[in-house]
Amino acid sequence: MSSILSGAVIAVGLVSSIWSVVLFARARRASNVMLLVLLGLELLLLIQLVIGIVRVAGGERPEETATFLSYAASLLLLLPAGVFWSAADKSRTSVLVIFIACFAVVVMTARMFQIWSTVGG
Amino acid sequence: MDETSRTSGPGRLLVAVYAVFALAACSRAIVQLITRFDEAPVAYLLSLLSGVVYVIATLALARPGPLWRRVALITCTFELVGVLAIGVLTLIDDGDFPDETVWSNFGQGYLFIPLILPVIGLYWLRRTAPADRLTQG
Repeated sequence: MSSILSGAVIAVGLVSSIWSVVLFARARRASNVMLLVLLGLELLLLIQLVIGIVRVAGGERPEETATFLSYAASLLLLLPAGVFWSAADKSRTSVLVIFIACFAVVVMTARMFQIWSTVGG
Repeated sequence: MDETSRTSGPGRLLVAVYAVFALAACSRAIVQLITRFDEAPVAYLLSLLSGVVYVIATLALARPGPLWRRVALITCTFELVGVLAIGVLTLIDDGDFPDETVWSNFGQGYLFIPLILPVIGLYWLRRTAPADRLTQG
């Protein structure tokens, strides 16, 4: 776990959450730029998982190691599932599915950060 | 409203939130069962049950048709009963639940979403119910 990386994940996640609410308010659908940002966020999550595995393998153990790793892995599913589920429906509200996915990424990353703070404690 | 509108529009959002909870409840339960099943088997099996019910509810809410509608009704009701029962139990006696489930303390650890979600689910099913059902019930 790297605090700079998780900070970036939380920041991009929050910006994308707000962005999707704005799109909903203006009755727009997700733009290509947004999809690229989400792809970038997914890459950050992948790096986060790799760093987590490497540091746990290196002997750093938070209190809830299994929960920590399952969060890191589950996080990768959220954005692809959200984008797919959002794109498959033409209604105005479907862009808010991206909001739910991004917000869940923020909450789960914050929780991972909390769990990681117990390392060595 | 006709039956197809149940799985469209706001129904999509409901499915998305349910999917997140299915993921959260299941992964939590699996971690608990693998790492410390001996500590509190009842609480962890309950955790797994809630996870499985979320998965079925997610599928049922996402699929059109009267059968899936019925399954969604049953699972949402089950969740509401579950979160209320476990909520009361954890309030009365902490001893039986040494570890948290998603339903402990009325879902407090999850911003009370486990308590709100089945209520919204049941409301949505009622709102999108086919007209003939409404006159019958």
